[in-house]
Amino acid sequence: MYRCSILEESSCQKEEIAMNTLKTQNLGTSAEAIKHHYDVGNDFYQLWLDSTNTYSGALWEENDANDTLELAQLRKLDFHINQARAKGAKRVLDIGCGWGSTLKRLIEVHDVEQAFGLTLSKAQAEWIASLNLPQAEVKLESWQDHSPVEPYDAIISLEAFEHFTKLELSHKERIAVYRKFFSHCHQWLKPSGWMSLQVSTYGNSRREDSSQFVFTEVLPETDFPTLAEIIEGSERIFEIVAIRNYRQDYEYTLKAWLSRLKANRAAGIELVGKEVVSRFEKYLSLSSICFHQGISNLFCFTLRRIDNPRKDSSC
Amino acid sequence: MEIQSSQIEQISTVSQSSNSQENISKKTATAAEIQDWLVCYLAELMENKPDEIDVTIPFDRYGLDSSAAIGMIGDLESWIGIELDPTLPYDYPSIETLARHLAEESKVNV
Repeated sequence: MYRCSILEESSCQKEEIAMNTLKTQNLGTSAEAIKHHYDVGNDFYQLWLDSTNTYSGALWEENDANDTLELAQLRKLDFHINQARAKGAKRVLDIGCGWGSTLKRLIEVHDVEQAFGLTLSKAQAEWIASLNLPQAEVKLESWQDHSPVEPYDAIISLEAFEHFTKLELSHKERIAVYRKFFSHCHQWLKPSGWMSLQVSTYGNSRREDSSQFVFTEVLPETDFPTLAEIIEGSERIFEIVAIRNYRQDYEYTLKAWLSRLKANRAAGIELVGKEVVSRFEKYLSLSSICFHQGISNLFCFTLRRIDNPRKDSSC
Repeated sequence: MEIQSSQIEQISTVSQSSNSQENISKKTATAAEIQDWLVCYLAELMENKPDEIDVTIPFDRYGLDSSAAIGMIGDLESWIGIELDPTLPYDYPSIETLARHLAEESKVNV
């Protein structure tokens, strides 16, 4: 595994040992729980996602009545690629790569030599394999098990962070997982490397307010972080260069998905049954209310690797 | 209208309306008709008589949580025949204001 200096390795190794004692393995969403949500059927998701099959909040052009879901998704992908300084890079990692829209964009539009994706969804991995992208490599593995042979120039992760922990974790366990994640990204990145993250968080709400419907029936073994937890998880490992809340953009995205799903309801029922379609419609409706009301937020973080982290046990 | 899991199972939401999307017949509903529909809906939901429902009182004062609001909008959508945003009860938080808004929308969309 790549590390930039002996001093830094020593510091981060200490942190890793401390984290391992907290048994952070398997504290996030299991492969079975991922399958429950993401492996419902690629053809079902195609009914209501845009043509790029991007399943995360898009970035909409304000006051542009002609904006479309597809344009807003491409704008979002370009935003993160720019924030991560990934254009023309040799190696870029996408953690939680979905159906591969970021990998495809990196290669086809932003001249990236090799784009690597991690997912726990077999359906997504199979889909990407069918895209015929020789410069893309997808692994069916957790970020916790990832061990690249060479460092990356940039890292992007869009709404995967919500799968790193579960509702029942203590604050200490949760922060340990987040610090482990950022430490891994630190180790995988070249010196002065950049990372762009998109994460749904609790907003004007507390964890105990969270919907049992969402976190048991729709997205089991999943939980949002708070903004403060992401900051605590990354401090002294990554420098936060920019944060912006795009919750209204997510509201528009969720409503666009819901509208498309309703328009294709009969086809959806044919593919996955009435119960699954109803569950997704309710989930998209409930989520659009949460982002509309500020119960949930959608944060984009631009992060720069700290090349000489403070030399103590907490990096 | 906080998200309260305890009430989610009590109100069936989109499942009630999911079979009716293709059968929606668009109609021009007046504010009074929409208001009557909402009064009857809430009265049944709250197990009250329609004349006990005050059209000016915010939905959340009737204990309508987000799941119940989604159910109400789903059923209203099937009845009125135009696609409705699930966030409408938050922007128009009483029967009176929602009915007035939807009557205008209904005219525009027919």
